[in-house]
Amino acid sequence: MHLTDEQLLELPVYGLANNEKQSFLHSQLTFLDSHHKKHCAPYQRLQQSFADTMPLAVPLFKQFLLSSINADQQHRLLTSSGTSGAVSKISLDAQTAQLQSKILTKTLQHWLGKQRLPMLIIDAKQTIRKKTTMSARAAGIQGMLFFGRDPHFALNDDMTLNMPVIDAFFEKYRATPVFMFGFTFIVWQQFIQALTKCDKNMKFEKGVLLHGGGWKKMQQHAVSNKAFKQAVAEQLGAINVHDYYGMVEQTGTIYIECEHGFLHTPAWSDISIVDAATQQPLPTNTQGVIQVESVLAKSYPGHRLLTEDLGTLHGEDNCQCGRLGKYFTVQGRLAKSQVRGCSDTFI
Amino acid sequence: MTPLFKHTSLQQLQGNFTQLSPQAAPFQDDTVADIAAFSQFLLKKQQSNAISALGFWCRKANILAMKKHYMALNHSQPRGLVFHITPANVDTVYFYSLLLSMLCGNCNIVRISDRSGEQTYQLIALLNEFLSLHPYSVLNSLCAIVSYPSNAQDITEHFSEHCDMRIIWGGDDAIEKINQQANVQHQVCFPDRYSLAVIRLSTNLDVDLAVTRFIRDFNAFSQQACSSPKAILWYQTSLELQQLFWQALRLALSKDESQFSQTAKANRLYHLQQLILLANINIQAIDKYSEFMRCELLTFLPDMLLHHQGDGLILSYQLQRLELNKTDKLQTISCFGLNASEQNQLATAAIRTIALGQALTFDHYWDGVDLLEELSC
Repeated sequence: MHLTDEQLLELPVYGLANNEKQSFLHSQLTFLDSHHKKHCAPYQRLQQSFADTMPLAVPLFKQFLLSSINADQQHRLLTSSGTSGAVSKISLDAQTAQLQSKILTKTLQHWLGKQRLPMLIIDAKQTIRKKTTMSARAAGIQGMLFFGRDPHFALNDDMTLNMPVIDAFFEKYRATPVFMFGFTFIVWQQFIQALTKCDKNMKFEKGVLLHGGGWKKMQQHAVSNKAFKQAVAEQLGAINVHDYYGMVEQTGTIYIECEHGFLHTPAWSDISIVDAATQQPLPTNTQGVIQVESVLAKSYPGHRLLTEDLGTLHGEDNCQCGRLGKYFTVQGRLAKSQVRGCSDTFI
Repeated sequence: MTPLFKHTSLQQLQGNFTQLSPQAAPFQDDTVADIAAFSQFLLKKQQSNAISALGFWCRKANILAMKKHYMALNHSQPRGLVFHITPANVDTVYFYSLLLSMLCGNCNIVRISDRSGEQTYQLIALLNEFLSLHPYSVLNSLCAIVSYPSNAQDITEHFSEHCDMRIIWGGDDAIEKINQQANVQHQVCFPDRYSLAVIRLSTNLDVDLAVTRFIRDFNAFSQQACSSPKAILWYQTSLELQQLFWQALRLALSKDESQFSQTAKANRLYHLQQLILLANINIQAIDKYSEFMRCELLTFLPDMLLHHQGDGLILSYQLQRLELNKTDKLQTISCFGLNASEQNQLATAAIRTIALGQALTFDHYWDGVDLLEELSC
């Protein structure tokens, strides 16, 4: 049965077990298959020779504007940040944008609580000032601002520490729950390392640091997730650190790392780990290419995508944290694929 | 020693060129002897098929054959300083034009792409090893190899301004960009080209030989060399024999460690989808294997291959008549099972027709250009 947007929003974030989830996804995704064939001519071209729906290769969105809406319905054009010039272009109508933002809210509230927390953004205010086309980094921050209150930007425009702001934030909120957000490499290099260098530590009593954008640069600097968490604890005190994985081609869907170090699929999305050449699913605990599905890609044919990222599926419905759905880890990008993504824009 | 500099500034690069001597006489005895020695050195190393192929190509007998060809040209002078700009996708090709240029007596600056593959660096390491054993070799005084980022335009401008000739190993975009940055009066460019194979299998006995030869053309450089076949056009071949060919190809490719990286394998789906949207291909069937992806087409035009990016995607098509639309981008047709007159029928459609298995064999006459003639005057 096909669900309306309202019904979609009713679903529990991590509460659908395999059977229920697969039948729900199947009906939504099959609907989207035919919807996009009807409304997006290139998508129809891509699929017409095949009995089974092929996932679209993510870099296609850099080369073609694949959209299932008329130009006048376009509410927003999202672009990924890319240094090499080629960026993904994702076309959203008002309804899709609204649905995606509501689902994102619901997912994040699971981790942050319904109360909006005082927020420290580990970036410069400058980053979100360009308004016309939004980079994924700006869009990420812009989107997150909604989940906090009293936002403070921790960095100056030249990406150095803005100590007066940081001090003020700490003085005001050291004893209450806080929400920090930033891109992994920026958090690491411009914030945690910079604080270490000037021998500054601030022990917050409670809070969440959400960070994402990939580990590529972190791996180059040989920083592990564990070392990252340890450094955060030393500098910032009792802050729970959660990595996340997501992509501009799947806005609204966010995979957040649980207490046991695994990324979790929310109800509206699924992942499979597939063989690079054949796209056949690989067994659990085997590294392969990440293929994603999302029921939120309504205005563009992004509901089944073959990413350029490598990951490993660790299980389904039985993570020690208790959340249902598949849980996985990301090992980075396929070697030498074109540079894509968020934190890669900086430095 | 041939240095591999990695600097972004022009000044640092310049200082290192003092080793370059003025040009030598064409096919001078010591140049011939030194390159022949380098050939033996490479062959003994057996580092990779591509490097051994290079070693075999520059053996003494072949150099002497080229010398004969050169003498017939009635040229007597080297060009002077030749600036080579090499491709990222075919790791060893720059060395062929470099050796030809040295044989003609030119002094050379070779810019290797900062996106170059592993074999590029292996070759430079081998050259350095050779030069440490033969410090007085002309190879030392006739070439310098440099690397710098593609956005360091001033370095390209500098070399272009000071060279007597430039060689750009494509593609079209790079050639256009470099020409905009700095014009050079005498230059040879190798633009984007594509290639295909026409195969006729008559009996089961043909299958293994065709597979062995096809692999030679298909497998190297992630199928990205301009002369690597991107499509197989079947001529008067039963579907059963074609089936046997695909099976044997899989088997043969699976025996060796894969030439295609995981990225290449994952790219095949992307490349296929690009072809559907850019070249408007119509697909009848598709088979995805770890070794390659086969895509059977309902219609075929050589132009479709312009958007083909290699990585182990083989287009397959049933050719009814030995006729192909003429296009100046079709470089090589590798033929198997065709007689001379049939091969002739295809000759007008491409820059060269050649036996299957020979597509990547380098010749001084390359892509319709006689490099020996261009590199001298």
